[in-house]
Amino acid sequence: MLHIVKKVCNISFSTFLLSMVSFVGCNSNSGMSPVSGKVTLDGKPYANAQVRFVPAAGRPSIGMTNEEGVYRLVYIRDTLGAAPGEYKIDITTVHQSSSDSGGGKEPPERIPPKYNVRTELKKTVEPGENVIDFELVSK
Amino acid sequence: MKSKRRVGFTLVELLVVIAIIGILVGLLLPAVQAAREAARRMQCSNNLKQLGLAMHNYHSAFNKLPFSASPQVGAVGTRQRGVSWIVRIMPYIEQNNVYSGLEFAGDFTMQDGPTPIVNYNLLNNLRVPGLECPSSPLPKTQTYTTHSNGSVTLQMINYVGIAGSYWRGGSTTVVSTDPQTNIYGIAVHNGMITPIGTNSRAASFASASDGTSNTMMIGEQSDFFYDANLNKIDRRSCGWRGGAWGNGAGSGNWTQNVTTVRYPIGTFGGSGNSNPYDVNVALTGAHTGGLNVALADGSVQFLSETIEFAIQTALADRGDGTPIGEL
Repeated sequence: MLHIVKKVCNISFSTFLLSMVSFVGCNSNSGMSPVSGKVTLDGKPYANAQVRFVPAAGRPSIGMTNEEGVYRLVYIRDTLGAAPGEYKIDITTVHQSSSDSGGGKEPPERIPPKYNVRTELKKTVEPGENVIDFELVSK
Repeated sequence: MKSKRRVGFTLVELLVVIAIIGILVGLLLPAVQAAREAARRMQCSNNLKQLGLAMHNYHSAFNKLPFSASPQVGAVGTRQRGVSWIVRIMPYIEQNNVYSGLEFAGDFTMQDGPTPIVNYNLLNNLRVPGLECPSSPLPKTQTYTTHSNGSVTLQMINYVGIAGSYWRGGSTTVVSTDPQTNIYGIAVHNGMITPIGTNSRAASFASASDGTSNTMMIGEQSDFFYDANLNKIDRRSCGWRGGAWGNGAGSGNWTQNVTTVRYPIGTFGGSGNSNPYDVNVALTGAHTGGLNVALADGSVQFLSETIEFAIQTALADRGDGTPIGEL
């Protein structure tokens, strides 16, 4: 009798262990590589720029620069980074609205078209941490 | 020999039984949670189905889809800002009693101009459950002080009209023709729920040259966004004065309850995607892995949140000519 109970004990314990292992297994990471860097325009840090990494297929990752010109790419929600691969990049200025801006025109873009609408920027995101800086020139 | 066995369980047997029950419950609980979420997703999908049908009924009556906004009338203090497309389909979602009582000349933000007391009485505390996604963790109402009638509590909803796509359908880098740029973002009226104004008219099913089963009409904004510090914030398109019932300041200005697709699902920040009154607020779903959308043919599809962005723009643009294939 006792050895049967022992066996059952053993089986249930190993099942328990297995399920724990499978729970831990669920915490896989997203496969994204963190990407950050600094955007400067004519040597000065450029705040409020939107840096968009557009892959040939899939969804773009987007980051905004802070006061120091530093951006950090977001893939979706709170998932940071971008999948390793080739990207076309466009950089535009972010204009913040307020509830009563009166519907005026968006201020003119200070970043030249060669960095956004006719972008020539191409970068590769490598597996692991990436630091990709952009030194823009207005002329 | 007479055995003196006592009837009952030993401690070990009891422990084994408890352990087994524990394991079974542990296995069952996630399944129950998943089943509950599946039921909520189905409820949400049914809500969108009803909204899609309401749009079809509206179209049968007027040969046009409801327009999302008309330009504001009047100066500061006497402003009149119109109704959202949600109010226009009220007779088709069993809210005819509210609809027939409303005075359409009032200020539907209730903040910038006087609101007829009849509108205030009808809309204050009005909750239409079919406009809420059951999975959404977001607040259901907002309360603020009105221009003329004291404090008001208005419903905030989880469904948003698709006004168009900033990127030409099927592209993620080419801008659509005729973008309407202002400080609230860039609107393009190539979708199904469009404003009326100087450069836009209400859309119809006939104008969906891609085919109604390849064009999306209504999407979800039912989850939090994450700001630059990865804190949760609620910035959905109905989240400003007027709630679900107001259209904002109208075309060429800020609009509510509609969005022009410019950013991928579940992203926040950037021009036109930072405030509820912006015109490019992204879609986002509270369901595992994505969100529901109502297509113009009245069907409801589940979109994966990591969907190819080019497909999302092609769905939002009603006349891009790009084939979509399986979603």
